[in-house]
Amino acid sequence: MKMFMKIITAGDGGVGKTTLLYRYVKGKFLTDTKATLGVEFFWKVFNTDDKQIDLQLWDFGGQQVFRHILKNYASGANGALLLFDLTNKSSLEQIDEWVDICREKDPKLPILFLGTKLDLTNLIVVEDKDAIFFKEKYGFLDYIKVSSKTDENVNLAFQLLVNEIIKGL
Amino acid sequence: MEDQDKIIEELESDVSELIEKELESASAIIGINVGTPEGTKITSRFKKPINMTVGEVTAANSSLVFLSSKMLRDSLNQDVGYNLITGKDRIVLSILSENITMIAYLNRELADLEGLGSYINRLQKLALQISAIIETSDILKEEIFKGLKRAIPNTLVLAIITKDGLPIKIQSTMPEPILSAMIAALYNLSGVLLESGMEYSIIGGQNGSVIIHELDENRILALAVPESDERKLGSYIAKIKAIILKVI
Repeated sequence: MKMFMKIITAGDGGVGKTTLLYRYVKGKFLTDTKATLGVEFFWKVFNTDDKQIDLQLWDFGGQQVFRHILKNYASGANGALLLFDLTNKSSLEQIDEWVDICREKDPKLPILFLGTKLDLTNLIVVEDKDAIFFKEKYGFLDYIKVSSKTDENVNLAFQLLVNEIIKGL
Repeated sequence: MEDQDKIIEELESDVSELIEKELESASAIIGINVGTPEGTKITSRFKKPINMTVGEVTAANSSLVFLSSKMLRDSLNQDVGYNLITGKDRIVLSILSENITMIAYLNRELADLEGLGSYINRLQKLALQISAIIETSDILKEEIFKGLKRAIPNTLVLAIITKDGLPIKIQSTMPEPILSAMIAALYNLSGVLLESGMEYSIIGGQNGSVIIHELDENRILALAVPESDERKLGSYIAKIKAIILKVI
């Protein structure tokens, strides 16, 4: 059976949304990325035992200037990945605004919370309890730490989100 | 089997069920034929066979609806609701609904006895029910595709998508999820810039252009043409509008 899913990725500029999507879709680590201007797109076919799912991945620009247009893009999404940078505490400061953007059209939109740059062990400043606070506050599906550089938990994150969306269909 | 044949086959069973119920419960109705406004047959059920073939009835009714609509619009500036043709033994009632044309053959004696008004009402209700089935089916997008390919034969990319970016029907070498996402994003961004809904947008290049046009409340149409002449593009927009008006 063929299916289609729209998944949005949100989070402050520089947290690694494009890098994560690039790693997941192309299997490579991007060392040099430019700020996303508004939105970019990726596509990946996700296979389960009995389903072939076209994942339409919307990579939201994280810069403040684009925020006002992102709510329009979130419409019709089946799920979201909300990212913050484990090495930068301030990337948690605007989680409330990101949740508003993702859930404006669908207050029950499944969101998976991701802490990025797990490979930068010595620079990590965000504690698990800080992330879990937001996970519980907003009823996120789960909280996972990922590294696009080492590929740690990248596939797992997408598997978790897609399986959760399938359950809800 | 072509896409449209497959869609019509699926539609036919849903619509036929409704029509058969109507034929069973209404003694004066001899038969009902349903087609698209373009004249494509959807289904037909008759208690007794008539001389014309199903295709002929559908085409004749499509032409009748066209002429009746034009006559009423040009003379009285009114939209047509139905067309009643009375003969010695038979009454032919043609009804135009949002997505379909429907023609019903009635036994005149029985219809007069039971009240023709009640038959007009019940057949209009049936037409609305069938119209709702058609609206959610794939036939409309097939009609739009067919109409656009005929009207603008040099179209290179043709896409119908939802305003959220879900691909509905796409003819392109680009991956569907990427193309549909881009069209949806452009549509939404245009709305932000206009501060209201977008009607259409043209992205002009040196030797080619992309036209994005609102299809209805939920859907968008996009096509790419190897054309940059503004007058030509203007005529394409007019053609798109005419097709949307006819089909939707």
